[in-house]
Amino acid sequence: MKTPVKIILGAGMLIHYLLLSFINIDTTLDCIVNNKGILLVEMDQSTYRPIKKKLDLILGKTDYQFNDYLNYYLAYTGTETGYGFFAPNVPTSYKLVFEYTLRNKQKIIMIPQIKSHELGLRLCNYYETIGKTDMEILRNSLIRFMMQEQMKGLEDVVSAKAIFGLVITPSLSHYTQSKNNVYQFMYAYEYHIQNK
Amino acid sequence: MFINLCTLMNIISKINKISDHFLFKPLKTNVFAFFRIAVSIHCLVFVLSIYAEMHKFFGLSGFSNREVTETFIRLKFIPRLSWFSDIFGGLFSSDAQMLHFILLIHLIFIIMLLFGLFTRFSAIITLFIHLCIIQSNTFFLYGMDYFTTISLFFCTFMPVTDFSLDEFLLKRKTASPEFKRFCIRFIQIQMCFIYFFGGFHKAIGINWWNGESMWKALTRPPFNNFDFSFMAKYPIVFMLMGWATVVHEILYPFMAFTRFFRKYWVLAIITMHLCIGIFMGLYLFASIMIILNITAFLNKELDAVLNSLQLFTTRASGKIKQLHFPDLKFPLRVFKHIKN
Repeated sequence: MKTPVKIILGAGMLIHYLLLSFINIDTTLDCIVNNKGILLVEMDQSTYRPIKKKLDLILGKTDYQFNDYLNYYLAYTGTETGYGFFAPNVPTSYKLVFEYTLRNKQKIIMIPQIKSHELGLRLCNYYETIGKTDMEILRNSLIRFMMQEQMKGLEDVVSAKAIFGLVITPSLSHYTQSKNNVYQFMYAYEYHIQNK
Repeated sequence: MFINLCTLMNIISKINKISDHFLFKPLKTNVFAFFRIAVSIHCLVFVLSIYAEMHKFFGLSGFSNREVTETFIRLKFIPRLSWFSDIFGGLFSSDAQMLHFILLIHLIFIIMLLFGLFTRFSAIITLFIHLCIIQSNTFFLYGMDYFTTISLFFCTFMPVTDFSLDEFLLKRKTASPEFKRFCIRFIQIQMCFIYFFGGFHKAIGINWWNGESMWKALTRPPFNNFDFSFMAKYPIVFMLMGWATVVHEILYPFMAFTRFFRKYWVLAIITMHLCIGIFMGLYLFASIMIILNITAFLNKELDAVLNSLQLFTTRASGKIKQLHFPDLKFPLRVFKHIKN
């Protein structure tokens, strides 16, 4: 292999891993700021903000047009996110329950059903988005889409209620005292169905 | 001044030599053939597992609406499924039909990649369709999707054409041993990043040290494939498992490059992923991580296994010929005679 080719390959590798470092440092900073955790100290906002600002500028989060190519590269190579999966803590589970009222006043309670195990795992991430988003309109829309899909097999539905909440599994230290899951209410929506 | 310049030049040439040795020391390995085949099978399983209910997650009227989810794509030229519907939409009576058609095209290119037919082109198209699917609904993404993208990206430029139809039919040249070493290093460093930062993020959370996170990971739905409640009496086990996970992940970049610990450390990480697959039901995540680990750090062992397998098959086929086809010797001799 000729030296110029080696230099190009080496430089490409360097840039790739430099970008990956920036992304991971960025997510690590977020992680430290939002979680007290083992470090037992919260990072001071005055220390955090200037570093975060610089990283955001490099990664093109603040100025899309300036760093579009960079973001394309990150998306096409699957390196647009950090690697803190299940960290710093394992995320909480959510549950979505629908209650459909039929024309004959009969009530049917259903939870979204998925046959594929692989897609079922993805549903958790979907619930996490619903649970964590600050955008009320997005949360409402996502729940409504699920409700409409679920409703396809039902006839004469006049109204539907959606109840969304947290599933709190017993912790390791408290398991001997209480073995049952606790459901914590978060959001509820009611939809009147005029025309199916 | 002159002496300083000389020492600087010496240091630069030494660094140059070390980096050249590290990145481009010739390497003869068949691990990239394993990588191509394994990643293709992984993608094949992924596509088959989502085929039946694809429209529910990525369609226009399912659990989510593609028109809404695609508005969250920040950039104009990020691949998405609506590109296909813009071009082929008119050919199909429903959106679900079109999505199944896309998955069929995806399957064809994955099979082409599996057998190594127009390998590079197949890898690029497979990566493109994979990106279209996952970027269309980022609310459904999890770690496995990113690692599949990374693996397919590796397939687009790495020497994955060994034992392929390209090599046998089109007589494509195999890559230089220096380039193979470079690619192995590329994957190795990527793996080090993944584990170091993964471990570091876990270490920040107090719950990975007191066993709570490990307990939660195994008991929270939908990862509660097995009932571990009987283990609640022994919290120390979960604590040790949590420590082991954090320590193994953080020290991965250091241990995987040492001659003595490499094999054991990587095998421990593979065992961890096997457990994730079996006990938490994250089969595809486990499979892609195991594939990446074997490719990155167990290429010598894999080559040894492949060589012994090859030796075994040649010996076995020789013996079978001797045992069952002694009558073929005469017709073969006649055939050779006619040919000459």
